[in-house]
Amino acid sequence: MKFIGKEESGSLILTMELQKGVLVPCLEGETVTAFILRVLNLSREQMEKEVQTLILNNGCVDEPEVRQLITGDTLVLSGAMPGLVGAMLRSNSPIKAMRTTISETSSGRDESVPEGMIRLKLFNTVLTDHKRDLVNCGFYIDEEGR
Amino acid sequence: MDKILRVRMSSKPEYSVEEVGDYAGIGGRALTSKVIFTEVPPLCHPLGPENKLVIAPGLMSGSAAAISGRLSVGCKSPLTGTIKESNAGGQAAQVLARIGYAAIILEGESPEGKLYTLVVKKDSVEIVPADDIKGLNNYAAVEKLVAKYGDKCAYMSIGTAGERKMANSSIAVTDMELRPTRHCGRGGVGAVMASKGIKALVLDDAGCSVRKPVNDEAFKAANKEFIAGIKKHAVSGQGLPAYGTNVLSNVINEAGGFPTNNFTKGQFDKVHNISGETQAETETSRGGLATHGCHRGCVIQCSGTYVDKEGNYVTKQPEYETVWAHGANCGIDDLDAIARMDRMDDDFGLDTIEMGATIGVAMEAGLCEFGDVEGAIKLVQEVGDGTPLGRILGSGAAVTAKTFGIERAPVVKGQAMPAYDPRPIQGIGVTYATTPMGADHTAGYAIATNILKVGGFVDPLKPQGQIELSRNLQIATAAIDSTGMCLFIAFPILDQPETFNAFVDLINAFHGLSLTADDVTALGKNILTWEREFNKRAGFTKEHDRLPMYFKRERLAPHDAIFDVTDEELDQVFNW
Ligand code: SF4
Repeated sequence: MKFIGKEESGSLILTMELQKGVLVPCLEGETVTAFILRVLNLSREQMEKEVQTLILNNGCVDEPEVRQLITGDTLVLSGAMPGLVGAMLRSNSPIKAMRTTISETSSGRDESVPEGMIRLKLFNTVLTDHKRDLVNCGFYIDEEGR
Repeated sequence: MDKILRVRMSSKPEYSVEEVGDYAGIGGRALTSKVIFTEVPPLCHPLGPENKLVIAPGLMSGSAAAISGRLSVGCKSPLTGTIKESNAGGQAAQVLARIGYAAIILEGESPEGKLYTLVVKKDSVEIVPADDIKGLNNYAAVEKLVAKYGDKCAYMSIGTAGERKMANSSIAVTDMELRPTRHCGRGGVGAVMASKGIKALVLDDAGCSVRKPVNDEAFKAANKEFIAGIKKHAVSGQGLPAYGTNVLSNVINEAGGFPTNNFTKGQFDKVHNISGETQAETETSRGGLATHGCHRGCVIQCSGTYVDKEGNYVTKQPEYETVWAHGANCGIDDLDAIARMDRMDDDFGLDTIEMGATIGVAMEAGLCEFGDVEGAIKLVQEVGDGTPLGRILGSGAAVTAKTFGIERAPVVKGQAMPAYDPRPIQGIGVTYATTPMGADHTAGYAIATNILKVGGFVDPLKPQGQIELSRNLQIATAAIDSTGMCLFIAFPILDQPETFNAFVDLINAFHGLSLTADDVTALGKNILTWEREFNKRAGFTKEHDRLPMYFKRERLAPHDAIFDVTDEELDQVFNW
């Protein structure tokens, strides 16, 4: 594991790593919403606008205020997606009935992640807009991924 | 748009220009499907003289309305045997509408081997022998046409796949740079154009002006509001322009619905190498374009330009469906190879979804390994060369699977599924199964139903929600397809009621109408009724509205899902 902090500047490498997933500490009992607000330095209103697609362990999250993160979770943060499927994947989509089978999976949780950390993936506009916020916050990457 | 051009092909091709008559007031898919329903015997052979090829701009095409340049092409499909509407961007819809045609209808057939170019101008129509471009693929054919007819026209053409009447052949439409990159791809429409003996259309709107609205002031105000709504929305204003449709790869993969290695897995472990994020960064770092429109007047601009390492043009930015079909579905994680195959598909005149799905089947059959880039490229080249193997592959995934004894053919009514696995995403499976077009994601693409109240409000929490949603989505999509508007307008419409109002005001101000949401519903239902009735008379029953059985048997990781919507539920989709 290698720590990435404020001094990191390699844009393309970061883009790849953040898509593949990086390790970020989460606080005891921290909810998905609280984690996002803290790590991406967002207000609640900004989060609702900018992070419209939330996927946790391969399942869509419709209650981010309630769901608490635990070690090994894989959390994906993305902007609103196009297409019928993109629309149904949004948190609390009006057409979420079309994706009832997509729920959290055990394979989505990463057993190799050290205690107190989750795997975080940033996609599309969230990646572009909040790459620096995450670097400022600091995170770890798998060494072999470099 | 008050006239129809009918071209009757025979040993002595002729044409007539008619009033729109019974087809007045409709455009795009509504018009193509109504003509096919009314005039084509459902039991005809798709490549026979009784079939017709209808080319229709949308109701708003040729006007100053934003994003109104989508073109519909309809016929009885050689791939599916059903009615078909195939939709593309490019410049043709705008130009054809400005010349004043609601549709061009190609009828009859040409003596074998004879090909013509149809030249349509403001005051003239010519049907001239196409000996100069016969046997050429799309890029070379268009280059010759541009040299002859100039850079102000829009061009439509078929490549050698179309000339060989392959069931997976497309019709290319030129983009703003006069490249044949926009395709009416699905359903083998290129083969039907070839059977009519038409190699290319030259559409020249010299001397024509932008179509004028009935109520100019109201139109301008509505258009301004509509554009503002599109630009401020997160999907149409940010995500799509920045990354294109391939922005979906990462997310769909994460949700476990990204078909991999011919639909045997729901996730591709190398997705980050072909994602929209990586694609956009690759394009811009090489001097390509990650934000570009497929036609003039598009304010979303979800397309782009893919260049090689030296900065030379390769193809337009491959879309999500293409990146998936030639990428994950074949185990390939090389963006340059995917772009190369996209270019080959455009040049030969092939639908990228069908071609990628076919190679996936061929890989399963052992023609090459999953992940074998050179093997995949060689298979596409076989199609371009018209070898016996190429002709099998050019007939699509279903025929290829049958030829090589493979059960796992991801098709409905003979057409390959696009880039969403219907097991974790059951709602899309309902649409794949029941659309009159064969497996098609865009059939239920428009997502505005609950705002529009199209088909009535649906409670998504009810167990039956996905059946009703699929029905309503298909109705809304059919209606939008008839306007010539790109389906991506559905997003701002879904989320921003004022943008929906601007959209309706735009249509009303242009045509001097007072459409309501009920009228939109009625139009969508009419289109689907014509299409389903045509299919019924062509021999299709509810038993054809099914997914292949293996989707009910083979579980897909990571959700361990099977498609478990019952046949009885599927039969309720069109129960209105
Ligand atoms: S949004 Fe994309 S597909 Fe739609 S008209 Fe614009 S460039 Fe074409």
